Amino acid sequence: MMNRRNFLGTLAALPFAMQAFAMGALPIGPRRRPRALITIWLDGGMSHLDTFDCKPEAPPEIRGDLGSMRAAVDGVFVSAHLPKLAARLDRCALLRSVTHGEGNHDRGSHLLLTGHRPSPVLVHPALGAVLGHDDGSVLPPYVAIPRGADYAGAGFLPGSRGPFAVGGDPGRADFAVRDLAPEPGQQHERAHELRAAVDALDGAARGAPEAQRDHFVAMAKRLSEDAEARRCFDLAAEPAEVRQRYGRHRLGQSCLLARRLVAGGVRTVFVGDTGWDHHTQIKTALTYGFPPKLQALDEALSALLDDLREQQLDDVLVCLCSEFGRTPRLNPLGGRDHWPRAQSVLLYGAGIRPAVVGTTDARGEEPSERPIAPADVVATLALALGIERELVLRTADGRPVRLVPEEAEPVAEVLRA
Amino acid sequence: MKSVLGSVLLVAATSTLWPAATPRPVPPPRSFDFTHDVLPVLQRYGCSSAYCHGSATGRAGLKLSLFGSDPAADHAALATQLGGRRVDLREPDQSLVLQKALGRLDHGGGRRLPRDGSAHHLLRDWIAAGAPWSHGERRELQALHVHVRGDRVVAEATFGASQAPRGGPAASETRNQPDRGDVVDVSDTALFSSTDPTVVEVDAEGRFELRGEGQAWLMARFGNLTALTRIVRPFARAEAAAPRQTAHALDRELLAHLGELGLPHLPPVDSRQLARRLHLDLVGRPPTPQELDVFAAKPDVPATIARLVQKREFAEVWAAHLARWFELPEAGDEGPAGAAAARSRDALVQAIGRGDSLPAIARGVVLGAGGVLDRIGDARDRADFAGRALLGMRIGCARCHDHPSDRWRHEEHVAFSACFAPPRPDGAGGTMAGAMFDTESGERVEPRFLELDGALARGSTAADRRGELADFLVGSGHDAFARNACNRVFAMLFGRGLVEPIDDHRLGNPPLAAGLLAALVGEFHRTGGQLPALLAFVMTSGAYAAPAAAADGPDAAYLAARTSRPLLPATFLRAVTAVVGRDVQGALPASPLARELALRNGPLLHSLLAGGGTTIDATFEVCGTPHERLVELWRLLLSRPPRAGEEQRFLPIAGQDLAAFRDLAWAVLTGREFGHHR
Repeated sequence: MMNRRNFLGTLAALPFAMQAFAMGALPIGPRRRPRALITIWLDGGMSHLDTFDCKPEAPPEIRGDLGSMRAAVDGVFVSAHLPKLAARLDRCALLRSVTHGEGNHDRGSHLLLTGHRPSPVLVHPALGAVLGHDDGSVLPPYVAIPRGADYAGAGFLPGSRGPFAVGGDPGRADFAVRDLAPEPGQQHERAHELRAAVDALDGAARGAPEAQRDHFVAMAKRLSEDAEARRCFDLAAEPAEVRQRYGRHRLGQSCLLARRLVAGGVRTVFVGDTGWDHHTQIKTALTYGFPPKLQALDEALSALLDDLREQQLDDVLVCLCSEFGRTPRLNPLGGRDHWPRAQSVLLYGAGIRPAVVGTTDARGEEPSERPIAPADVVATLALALGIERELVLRTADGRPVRLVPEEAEPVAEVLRA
Repeated sequence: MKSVLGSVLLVAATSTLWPAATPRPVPPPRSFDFTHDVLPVLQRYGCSSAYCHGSATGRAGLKLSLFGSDPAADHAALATQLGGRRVDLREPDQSLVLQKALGRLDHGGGRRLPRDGSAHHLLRDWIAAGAPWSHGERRELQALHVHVRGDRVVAEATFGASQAPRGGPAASETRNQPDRGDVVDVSDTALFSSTDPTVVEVDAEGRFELRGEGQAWLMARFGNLTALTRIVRPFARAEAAAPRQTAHALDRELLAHLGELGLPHLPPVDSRQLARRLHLDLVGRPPTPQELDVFAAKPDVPATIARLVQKREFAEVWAAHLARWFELPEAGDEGPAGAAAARSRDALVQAIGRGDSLPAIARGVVLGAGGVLDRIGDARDRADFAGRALLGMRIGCARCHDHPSDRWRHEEHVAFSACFAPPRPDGAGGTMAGAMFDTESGERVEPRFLELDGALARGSTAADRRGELADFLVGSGHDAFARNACNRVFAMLFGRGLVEPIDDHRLGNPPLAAGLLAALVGEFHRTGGQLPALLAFVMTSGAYAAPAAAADGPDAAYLAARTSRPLLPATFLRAVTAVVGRDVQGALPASPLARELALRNGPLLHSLLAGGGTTIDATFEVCGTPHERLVELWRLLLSRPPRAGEEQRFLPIAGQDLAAFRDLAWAVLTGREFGHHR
């Protein structure tokens, strides 16, 4: 099996290049193989004031009572509950002035995941679905851990572009991706042979839907029969020390699984963490619980950044984001509500130059300099991943739609030349 | 007059600056109307498209309204912004607008206008005339016609002097002939397109070229009107449909449609396959062997339908169709939203079980039955939903901007949305009509229904407008609901609508076969929108009994043949449960690869079959010979006898042990044929 580490500009690049050409996308410049994307999605809306944009000088009802600390970059205060990420911030690109006007989960998610404002008539594909077209390899091109989110899917592209959802809870000790292989002792070889015969005697697929089903049957067969490919899904193959480092919780083990998958050759991974919609008692929600949200994020993401570096997976881009920030002023229930006017997005890895871009005002309400639209973030990701900025996708009825909206400007400060 | 002076100066300027240019006579004084003369040029050459100056933020400092939807703002942008520096009234050819568009100055969009083309001259003359908003008689665009003349498609606009009120003919997709008015050839500035360039291609000038066989429409857009003309290039197949007599209204239309396209009228499927289709469509499972035998002996379609629609399975299967129609989340969602959706589904099952008609069910949705409408909080979202689900129209486009190829205008969307504003307390313990406020101006929006042919646009004052809304949406004055309902039911049976996308009924998106849709709508009205009657009408037709096409191609595209489509996951499990005789435990994952992995490796089917007590095991035990077993298994699962090749391959398996026979059943259940509607 071809994997990310031993791929070195071999012929296997050809199918991608051809597909990319057919799509109108050409990787920019010579590249060993397409870059990979891990999106870590904190569903519900990560509070920027309690994570990467702390305001220690602001009054208590704004700054909250979680405490903050200096990060490894001058003038940046991050939550006191994110010490590991604080120390690694000089390796990341932090966008603190992302701003938009969609304060509803659905609409904000569509905007951040696709770069397009939600349209009543068209669901746009997530960047992962655009990247994740099947290049004939054993592993699925787009995987969601444990499952996708609204608008993390194929949108108007064919359903086959959607993510393969591993399901379950990676944080559980008994987690395993379901049905990758038959249960031990249940080989069903004869049944599989008979099905192949039944289908063969049925003749050729009648039309596109039957052909798509055949495609997934073949993919399931390839994956079931390739033990090495399946090992990419097997967290138990990781040393206990590594699993510990990522944290024995859903987010940590999801990030570890994402790292295994991109190392094996998966092009895009969506890691979805839920429960970030903190309308009440945000302090409790972020710092207590099993595990505390911030501690889990700190462990998982810092372990991922270290691991990618140690494993020399320098063609992987990590993006941490959610649909919006949260209200700077704590509400009477000690929570924070939806706040799309300001939020933070963290980028790391392939094509990304470490930098801190943009600031919010003293109360964290609005960008005070360098406002960045969600479309700009998606444009930045696309460029960093080597996708042509002008890439035009086609809807089912043939309508051309740009991957990145026309008005989007990539954040040049964080792009490597 | 200044404009006359401008014209004289223009001639002087052109002759000195570009002596080589074709000399033009002094243009006769003419009237100008920015909206009808200049804006179409900007549209035609892409200046006001979403990718150029029509984008939300404009381009390079010049912002035009998208597709020219705001003429006044565009006039201001061109004629007065930047102190009027975009136009040079003294030397029109030096105008920034022209210099950029002709590519003489650096222009991000490059050269747009052909030099010395009619559009160039028109813009120059307009500037020379003083870049007026209007000059001379004010004209109103009343109608647009398009027809074919030689190798060109010609667009003719009818202008009248009358000041029709907003919402008059000019705002709608009318092609009525006005009583009087000037007919003007607007082919120079109209936008031409083809609905299917593989059949006919048209260039910007309106020259068209026939390509392949099939049906397409040539379309012209001018101002806010669309007009189209149909082009048919018959396939001229040897076995093309000969004129035949048929008593069925749908088939009369189908035969005419196929005859015109030169496509064959294919022989219907055999009675077994027809029985399979009827059962899968009506009750979500294949026929039992007994049902199959009864039907094969006497293929009485109406009697079969009458029997099946009495079953609870019918209500469940069609409630699931309606749930998708009304955009409820798929079953299986947990949490409060999932529970609410489950209540909505139950309400639909009960409505179908009671025999409610489709209009009655739709009325119920608007009135709040099952909480279907209450799932949507925002008034504008509700208006969009009502447009899509009940009228089959995407009014949502107009939420952000007037759309060039659609009739709805932004203000109409806002006014219609206001009808959905929930009632509010009146301070005296009662309720009063809800209000909506414009997000831009902050002003209160007067609620108004949409203008549909035959329905009167009117406001509403009742405290709770739902009753009036239901009357309007499902009402008898217009055909929008009936057309939408018929198209959706057709799509549920055929896997594709006569109008596609199914929520996009409009003049610019004509039905595949208008006669078929009209026949359905006729039957819908005749039977009061009763679902079983509409189903029976379709299912007794030759169109329904046509064979499945071997591949994607013209037969499938033009309804000579049916298309194969996958069973929905819920239908697949229902079908498996029915044929195996034991409940499937668990659900199939939503993502297609996970689904195939679950079928291949997971316990879902393997355990079901291995657990015994199934009709599969009974078949193995009861049948005396391998041949009988095979025939019975095929009848149970595929509603047909095995073919020779299948007998040859699988007879040895049927002669082995029970485990082998179960594997064979698994292979058929997960095979391509069982999983698809053919």
